[in-house]
Amino acid sequence: MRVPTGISELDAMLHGGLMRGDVTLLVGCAGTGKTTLALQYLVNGATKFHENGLYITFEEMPAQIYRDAASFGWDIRKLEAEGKLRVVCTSPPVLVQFVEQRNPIDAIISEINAKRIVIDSISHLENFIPASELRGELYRLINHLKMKELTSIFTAESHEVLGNQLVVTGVGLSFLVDCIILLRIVEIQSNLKKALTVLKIRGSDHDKQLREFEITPQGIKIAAPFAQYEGVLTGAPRRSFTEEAGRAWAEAFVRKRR
Amino acid sequence: MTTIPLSKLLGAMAVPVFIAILVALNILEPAKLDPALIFDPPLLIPTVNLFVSLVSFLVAYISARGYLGTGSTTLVFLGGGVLAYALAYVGSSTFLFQGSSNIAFTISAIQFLVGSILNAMGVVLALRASEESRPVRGKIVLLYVGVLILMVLVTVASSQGAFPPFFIPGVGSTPPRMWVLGTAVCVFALSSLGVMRLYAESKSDILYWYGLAMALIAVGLAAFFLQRVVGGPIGWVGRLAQYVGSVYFLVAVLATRGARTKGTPP
Amino acid sequence: MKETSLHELMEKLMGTEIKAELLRLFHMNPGILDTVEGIARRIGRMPKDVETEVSTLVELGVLRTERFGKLDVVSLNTSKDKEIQNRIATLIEGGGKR
Repeated sequence: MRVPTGISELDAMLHGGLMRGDVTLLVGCAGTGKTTLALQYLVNGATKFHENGLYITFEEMPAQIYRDAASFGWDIRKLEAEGKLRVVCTSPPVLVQFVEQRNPIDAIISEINAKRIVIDSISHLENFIPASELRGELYRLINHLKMKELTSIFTAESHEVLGNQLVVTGVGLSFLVDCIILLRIVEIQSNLKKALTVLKIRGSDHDKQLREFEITPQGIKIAAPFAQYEGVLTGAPRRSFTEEAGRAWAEAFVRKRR
Repeated sequence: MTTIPLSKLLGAMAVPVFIAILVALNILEPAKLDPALIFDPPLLIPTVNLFVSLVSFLVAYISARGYLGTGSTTLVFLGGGVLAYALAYVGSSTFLFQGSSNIAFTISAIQFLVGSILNAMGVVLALRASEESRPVRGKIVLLYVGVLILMVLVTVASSQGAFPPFFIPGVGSTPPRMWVLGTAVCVFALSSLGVMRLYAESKSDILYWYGLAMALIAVGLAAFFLQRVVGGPIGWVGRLAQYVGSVYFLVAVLATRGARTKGTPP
Repeated sequence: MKETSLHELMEKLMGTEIKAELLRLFHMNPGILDTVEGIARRIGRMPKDVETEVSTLVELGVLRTERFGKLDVVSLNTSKDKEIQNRIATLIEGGGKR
């Protein structure tokens, strides 16, 4: 069973949406729109699909979340008052604290009957949990969320803005999660553009194209694939030969107006 | 004064050389050709025509990509013209292989004429410096499919005898073919001049080789105009001119890469 | 909470700079669910200084703590907080006196 994000083009790329109960890793460097996409997932869930959601933030304060969401027309406070969404600001040690299989956020999950959860961002756990224990803690957290039948999105920071390197965590988080969506900034003809691709979905096929997306006043909008370019993810894209040739062909026949 | 590279000079020389050979053969070739001088293996012409078709399809594809990338209507017509030219070879090869030379020459002559007209329209638009608009995929699809449908219709009509004979073996081209081919020759030649005028302004290698390709196509068609028997020397010289023209098309395509690498306008 | 004047109530709630910062933090961000160390980081204070003030606010009922393993997790007591806000409003309307 699928859990639609509510972003129609993304759901089409995911062949209907995320898989129920799965954990999705949303990876990107600063400014790529991870928080916006994650918020949109929860807001859409609450307003379109009757699925309440929980937003866990470590660094960004709820007041800022409310303000940023309002710029897209999303009234988070109203959704909280209606019991459809909750923004929780906490620290990583609290999130990974389990006592007799109970976690501090369990009460909130039950209170609002949450079906969706976002953790923004999972990279902060590295600052609080020793590397030797991090994978184990993540594994426990993931299993706990799956037991609660939550469809989760973890955002994660990638430190490379441009270029062909991609490192998320050093602990193989990509192996623990069920789905990975990659957000990148790419340079196309001296312009910085945002690109999105689905790297993996366990147990399902997905769109394998790299697509441009924008952050519009209504939220994330995904556009056409970068079909005419090659090497976009390497940070040094170039147009395909026929695309280049076509443009050169057209320019050759353009007569300068006198 | 900038010197013209040797490669370009040699390339340009092909046109007068082919013209001179054709004129000489037309004068020297007897009315009834010795069978020893006829060279017409059944698979050879279709095979070498395949090269011309493939190169022309490539040019048509690049024109389409260029239109979709820039919205230049010039490329819609240039591409359509080259596509018609490519389909002329496909059609004629198919029916030559089946031994139906009249149908083959009818299809090819009409497609050559269509190709020349579309190509000329593109050159005129280029000379008039027409503005680019937002590319509409349907526009180019419509024209390309239209060219294809036209070929199908001409093929069917020709097979049904709807057209007067265009070619009589042993006699040569009939007046209808001469009119159609003659018009195509003139239009291609004028297009070539138009492209070379554009080249004179921009010094673009693409235009140089494209213009020469148009000129050689015109020369080749003129040879078909003159040939009296399939497989004769005049026909082969004409074919050779068109094969060289296809090579020039390829050089024009390759010139796009060189221009982009240099960072100068192509 | 015992009946008290507006002045006394405000003194208890915001008598120190840190208490005022804590109240402001939790009112603007009611979803905070964190340890004293985490809260101290958010207002740029030392955990030792924040711990005392948090204890005071817990006694007043504005905040609550819950023990999870070796962590004391602090959050806003929304119902009590509302009660206190109403109490402040009443006292203001009543001229600040009991």
